[in-house]
Amino acid sequence: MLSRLKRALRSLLRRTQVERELDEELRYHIEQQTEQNIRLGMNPEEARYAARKAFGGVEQAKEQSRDARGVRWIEDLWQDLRLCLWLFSAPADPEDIEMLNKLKTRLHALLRKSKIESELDEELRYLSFAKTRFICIFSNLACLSPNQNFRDQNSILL
Amino acid sequence: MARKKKTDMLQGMLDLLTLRSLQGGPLNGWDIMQRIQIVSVDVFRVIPGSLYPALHRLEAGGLVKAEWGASDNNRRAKFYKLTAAGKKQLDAEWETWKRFSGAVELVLRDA
Repeated sequence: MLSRLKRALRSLLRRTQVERELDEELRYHIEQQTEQNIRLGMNPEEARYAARKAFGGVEQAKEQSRDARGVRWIEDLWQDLRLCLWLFSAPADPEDIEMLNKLKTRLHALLRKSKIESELDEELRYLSFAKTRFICIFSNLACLSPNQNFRDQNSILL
Repeated sequence: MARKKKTDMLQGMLDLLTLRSLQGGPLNGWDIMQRIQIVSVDVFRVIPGSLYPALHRLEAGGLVKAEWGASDNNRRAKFYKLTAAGKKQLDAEWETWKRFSGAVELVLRDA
């Protein structure tokens, strides 16, 4: 229990070193595989490529290894807290404010456009519905009409 | 000549074979992978992308202990060794495996 706590604390407090060691460990493996591939007759570039491919996702393995330490949630929480502190403590930069204002204007324009488009869609849907209803009613009337010429004179019913 | 078919290992089996490989003494990840492939006569294919997270999980669980040392070619490498808890876990998992594989064999033969 004590050694687990020690490892967890080390992961949190000496994060850079733990990450460097993880890099070094995986690099060692890939280099060993590369050397073996060269001994089997591949050229160095081909051997390195094949070694990385055989590894099966270096970044994924790193992520899973970080998860395996069991302190991931504390690391994430710590990062979020640092970001919050930075956001509240950082002095406002005029360039940042200008960029944010531009972004805000652009976002408003996009939202407006999206609203107009959705209203237009609604109108078109209504028009299409009204047209269909009109054709149905007109078609029924035409069928009921004893005068067949009435139907022949209306191309919309053809 | 028929080509041997390599098999991807299940997670539980990878833990068991990793712990068993370390029973003979400390090994690094590369050596563990080589040993499993050689001893299984190239039947098991250990994917390094699965092996290292498994090693780190076993380390976090206190079943193995890691130390940096020099490899055969005199390079710095991370070596893993079994802890007392790891030995106990290995015995328990080996027992479970024997019962499981025996039961599968019985069903395959007599069912």
